[in-house]
Amino acid sequence: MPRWLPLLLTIGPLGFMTASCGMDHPASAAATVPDVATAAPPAPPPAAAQPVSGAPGKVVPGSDVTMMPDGSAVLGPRVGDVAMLRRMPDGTFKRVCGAAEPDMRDMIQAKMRARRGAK
Amino acid sequence: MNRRYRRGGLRRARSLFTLLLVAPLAALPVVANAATITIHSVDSAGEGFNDTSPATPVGGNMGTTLGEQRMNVFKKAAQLWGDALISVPPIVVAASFAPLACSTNQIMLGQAAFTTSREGAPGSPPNLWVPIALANALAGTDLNGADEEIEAMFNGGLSQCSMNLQNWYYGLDGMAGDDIDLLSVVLHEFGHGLGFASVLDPSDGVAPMGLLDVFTANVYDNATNKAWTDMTDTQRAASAQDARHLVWSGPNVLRQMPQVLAMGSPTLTATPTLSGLTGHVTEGEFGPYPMANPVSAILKVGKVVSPCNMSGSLTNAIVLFAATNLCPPVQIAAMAQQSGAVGALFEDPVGTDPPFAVSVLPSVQNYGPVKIPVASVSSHDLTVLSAAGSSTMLTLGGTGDQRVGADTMGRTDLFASAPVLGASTLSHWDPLARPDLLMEPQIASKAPHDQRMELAAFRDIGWKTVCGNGTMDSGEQCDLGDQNGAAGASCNADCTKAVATAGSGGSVGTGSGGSGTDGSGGQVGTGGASSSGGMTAAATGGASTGGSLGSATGGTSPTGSGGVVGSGGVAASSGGSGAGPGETGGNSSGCSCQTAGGGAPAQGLSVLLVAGLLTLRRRRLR
Repeated sequence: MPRWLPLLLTIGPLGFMTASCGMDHPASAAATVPDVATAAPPAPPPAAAQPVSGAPGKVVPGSDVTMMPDGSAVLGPRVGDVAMLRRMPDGTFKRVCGAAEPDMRDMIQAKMRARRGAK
Repeated sequence: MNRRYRRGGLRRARSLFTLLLVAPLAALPVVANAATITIHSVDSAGEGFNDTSPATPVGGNMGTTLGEQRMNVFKKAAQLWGDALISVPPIVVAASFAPLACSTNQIMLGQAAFTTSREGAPGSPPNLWVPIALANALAGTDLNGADEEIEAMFNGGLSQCSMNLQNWYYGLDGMAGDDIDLLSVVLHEFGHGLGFASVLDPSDGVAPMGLLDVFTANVYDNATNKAWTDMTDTQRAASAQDARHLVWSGPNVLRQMPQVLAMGSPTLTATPTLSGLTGHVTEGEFGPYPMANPVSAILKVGKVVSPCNMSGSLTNAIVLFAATNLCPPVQIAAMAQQSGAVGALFEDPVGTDPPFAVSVLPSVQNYGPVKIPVASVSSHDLTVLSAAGSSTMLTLGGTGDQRVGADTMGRTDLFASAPVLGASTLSHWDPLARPDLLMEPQIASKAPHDQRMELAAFRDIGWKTVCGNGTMDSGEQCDLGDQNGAAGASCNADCTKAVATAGSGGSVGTGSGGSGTDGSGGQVGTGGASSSGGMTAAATGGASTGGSLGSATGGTSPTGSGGVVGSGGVAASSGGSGAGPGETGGNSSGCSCQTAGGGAPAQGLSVLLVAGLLTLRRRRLR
């Protein structure tokens, strides 16, 4: 018998039980929760928002928040900071973080949605 | 607690007796462990991380295809964060590196963010949003199951979008030259994904569901003397634009900051006083720092004419330049210097208050060389200064007892900006900080990899870190747990041994021995080759290749036998931008690659021993 087997047999079930105790285990990420563009005017509420975590949560109307059965809440994703090259008047680029222009933001959001939708 | 240590721990648990001891412990809710961060590529075949174009190994990155090299950098960033943070549940990053669409004024480098935030999860503080990776760590279980915790998107089409003017550097050593150091950008973006970001919209101050987040809970406005937790939405929106007044109030950053930020916050004042002048300046990436080379002179508005010339005498003037497309600032500053100017101010074309630094590519950083202090001003201050009378006197200098990027109380500045720059405002340090910090909103020419300030911020938002777990782990000189960095503690916030007190060090160039009240002073040899001195406390040169302090300085110690020992980096030609608070003088080319534990400040007898060895070594060298 391998020397580590008793340890595994002892800790394994405990770890499994701990991980299973009352925690939600969502099946998938949000497929259709819209991203909130931080630089843009407040986005209208999602027309058909779905739970951020697949399972039994309930979407709070007019938000991207999902209430979970255990009483916790899940906030959907945001387009965060964007590292970029910003073209300067002299033709050089400045390496900064900043708000994405609308076309870039749309592109990021589309890619994020596509990835989550594909899952 | 690194992985090797953990494996060693398992090997030691070999007997049944040990098992009996271990079994009850296993029932405890959370077992401290370094985090495992894994990268999950979502790229299609042949692109991004799957790009099979051949590549030559560079800077420690041994990948032989473009895709491999990209993945190696991501894995390195994951390892650097993972080895420093404690989390039982693994952290998964969904990452892409496919080419992205190009746009005219902006070229996206990359972005990352946490996929969700939680409120009310087990182990989390109540009534605050917590980024999911942290929420999992606090709960000790994977709350979001198979879903990734961080989503990252980087641009594999950077060269094409920039007409080959800008390229990624895939090395792991920070020696990116004029290219963009991918590792520092990934480290930065992962930092956001791990929690260095607010979910609030800084443009309106509105919190989702009326709940703040763990990041914002540490934000404080030192003009109104209000924490963001005590403000209304409207007040937060105003505060987000109150440049140089938004600070981080968490105790861990407060403790870490003195080991990181340099002394000598730059200042700009006018005589007579100009109504509306904020005086917010940011040091340039070339030329001496204003603190090291303060100047008072008459204000002149400079004019650059086509193709790249300057007319008229600028003798003994501080010259103000509006943003121009005719030539880069380093060239303009050199011309102004040649025309007699004693200082140069540049409008930051981004236009915000505070201004971003006047940047320069490392290959031309020493153009001229520029020996007059250079700083940037906002478009607002440019307007105010341009309208000033011809007899206006300016003083460009610094505050010797204030750190660069912190307020007078030692709280590190956050990036409040007018106007708000989307999610970048609030979720970064101020671009003023020196040395450049990982989470600044400007990607420094010299790539920072130092995570100490960010790890301190992470402790403030609830992360447990390996440095701070109370156990001395690999690479640490000490670890007193929560007492690291506390007043009088013998261990710094970054798990380096505390020097008795960072006294008033001798000026760089000729470091002087200190004198303790209770014992013999420290002994330190001659300083480095910095040409211009400055205030130095405890130099922590370490392995920084460009560090400017040849050997550090002594200091007075109120508590006894504490000389300060630096053993700094390689001497540079002009004082410099090596990492650590000991740096002074001005910019020099080099890599500020210091990580926690760099340098070797010693204490007590150790100081004398090290000092003695240094002296002996110097004698031998002579």
